[in-house]
Amino acid sequence: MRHLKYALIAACLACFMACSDDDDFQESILNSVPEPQTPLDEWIWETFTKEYNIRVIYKWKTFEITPELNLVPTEEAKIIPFLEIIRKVWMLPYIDLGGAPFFKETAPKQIALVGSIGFMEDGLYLLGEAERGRRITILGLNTRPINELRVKQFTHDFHHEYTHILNQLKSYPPAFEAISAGSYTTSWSQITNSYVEGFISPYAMADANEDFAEMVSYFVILDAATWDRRLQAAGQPTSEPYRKLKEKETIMLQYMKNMYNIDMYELRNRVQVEMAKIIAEL
Amino acid sequence: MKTREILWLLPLFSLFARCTVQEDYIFEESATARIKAYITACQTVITQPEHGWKVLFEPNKQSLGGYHVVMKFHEDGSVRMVCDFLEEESTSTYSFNESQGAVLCMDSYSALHYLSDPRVPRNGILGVGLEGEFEFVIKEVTPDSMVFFGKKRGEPVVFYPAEEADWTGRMALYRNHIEKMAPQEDSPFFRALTMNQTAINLVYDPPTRTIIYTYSDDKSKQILSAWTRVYGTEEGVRFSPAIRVNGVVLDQLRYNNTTHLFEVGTPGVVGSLRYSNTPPFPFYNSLDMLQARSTFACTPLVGSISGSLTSIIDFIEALMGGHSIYMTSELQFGYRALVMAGMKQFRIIWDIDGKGPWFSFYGAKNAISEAQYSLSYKLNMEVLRDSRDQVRFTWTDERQTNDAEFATAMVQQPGFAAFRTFIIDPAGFTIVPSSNERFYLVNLNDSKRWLLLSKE
Repeated sequence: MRHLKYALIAACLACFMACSDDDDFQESILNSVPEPQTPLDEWIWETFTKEYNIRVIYKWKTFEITPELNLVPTEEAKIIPFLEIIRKVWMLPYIDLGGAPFFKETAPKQIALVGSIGFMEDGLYLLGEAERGRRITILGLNTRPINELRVKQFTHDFHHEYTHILNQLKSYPPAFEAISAGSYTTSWSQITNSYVEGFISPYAMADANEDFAEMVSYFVILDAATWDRRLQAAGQPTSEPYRKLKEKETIMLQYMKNMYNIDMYELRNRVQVEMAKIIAEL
Repeated sequence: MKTREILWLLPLFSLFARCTVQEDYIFEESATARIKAYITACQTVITQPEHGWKVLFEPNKQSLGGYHVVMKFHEDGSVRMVCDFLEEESTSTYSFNESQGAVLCMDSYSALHYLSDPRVPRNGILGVGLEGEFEFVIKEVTPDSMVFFGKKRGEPVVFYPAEEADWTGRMALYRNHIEKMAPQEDSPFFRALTMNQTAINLVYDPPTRTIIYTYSDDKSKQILSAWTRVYGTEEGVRFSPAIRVNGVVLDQLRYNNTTHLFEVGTPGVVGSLRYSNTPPFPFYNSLDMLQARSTFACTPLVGSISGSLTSIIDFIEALMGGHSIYMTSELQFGYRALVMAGMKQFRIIWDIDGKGPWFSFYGAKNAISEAQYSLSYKLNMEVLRDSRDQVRFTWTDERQTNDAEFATAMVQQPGFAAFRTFIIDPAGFTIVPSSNERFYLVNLNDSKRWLLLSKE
């Protein structure tokens, strides 16, 4: 046994000795041209990076954007207005309710901004995506001037993608997926009335993750009365679609409360107030 | 051999295994060092010319014309540009990275990105853009040129040193001339290019910088169409390939600042390019060409069909304005994108059950659905002359729909009403072939009112 130990130690030493001169580590070849620090960069640093460790990627970085789509970078004039909106309708409400430590822990480490919508071959288009709990990518910032619909769209998209990150960090109960098990479909885009199927939107029918994210994002962008009308569009309170939507709502509310101590009713109030303020100032 | 003796040999094997690759290097430096040195050298070269570089982008020679750009790269990572497709000078940033070799990346939005932007409509459809590039793989670098190929599509791109004149006026001249090729807002539809005694109907498409010209062929006595690319020049515009009609060849037009006309500059050929409210010649049998081998013709592009509707974008806006019950309100913005990405909302159906042409609208109840609801009205069609290139439609009350609620809502839409008024205009239309697949319906009284139909 003692020989075996020496043999292994000798083998390890030999490996280190043999490898010690092989590599000549040098400076990274990437970003060899210095990036100018603009007022925009400073604003991003002060507002997102320094306090919350969120890096905002707005310049085109190879490998960081879906290569198969036809995309372009964001026009710089569109960046601060967009980031201001999501700061007000997403960041500050969650910080107010969950606290800064919660937000720092769960916030995406990167927010990537893309100027164009991701037009896909099947006629659908990509507006956002969340990746491995670390990054949210929002597309289509260049498309149109900011108006009421765009404010709602941005709010919806960001809460949707952030919900994916929350789910990636802490899973929602399996009971949620069981409610509509068997009804998820790749043909969700063909669905014209998702309510009667027990879904809050057609995209919610794509899979349980999208279903959960759509429940959260529509819950916060719709006022209470509109949300209730959406549920009622599913049918009578005794109907199965309505029951499914209410069950999903209950699980979603409990998940956010139990896992992250977020009162979704209060979150909705704050998001609604901020959206109304932004829209009023347009 | 005992197990412990075998174990003693392990370190020795390990030493041999790790150290036997002490061979002579072909390169004196590591790959990392070499690519870094190459990128540094490229950066030096790219920032060197006093007036920067000029480039002629030809993203797709099968379907797009040429776009000129002049760029001055600075050591601080910024790049200044002027071009012949946007008026304003822009400043953005660039960087180099390593992917398929050294890559030049224009990493913040600039004039160059306009050519890649899927928002730029192509034949009225969003998503494809003009097939431009903003990442370029470096192929060859010399003081006199930098040769790249586009990272996405692989088309070659060559940078040449620019001159001061490129910045101070040449790009503006190119842009000025090529903009004059674009149909003017108040100009009639027909654009007759006369070359000696030959008349050609010329349709210029500004985003793609291409021309489709139609003429009556002397030999075959048929109406033929051909296509060419357009490039801005200091004198006017040039065509590649040259326009060839009945033995006459034309590769450029010169703009006359006194007459405000493009004139033929080819020796031995006299002619000019003029707008006209009437067709330059009969488009023989264009109705039959439109109806041949296709049941449907849809409307990807709209001219001025009413005073307030000047483009498909305006039309969609008008349609959305009163159509909220057929899409969820918070997603109306997405509906527009889908429609413009290729959903065909209006169609003329040439035959349903042997009953002749129908005018159909297709719609959806929300933003992400296919347009599965339809409302079709039977049209009567009258051929107006023997050349079978002019028709008149009249509306009938006979209709078909697969959803009564949808039909009721649709007939109240301003966009629907505008199309209806347009289609049944008593003046009728000239059917102008643009290619085998695309045809214009041009109002006989007012050629500024037109509709582009694509076969399905």
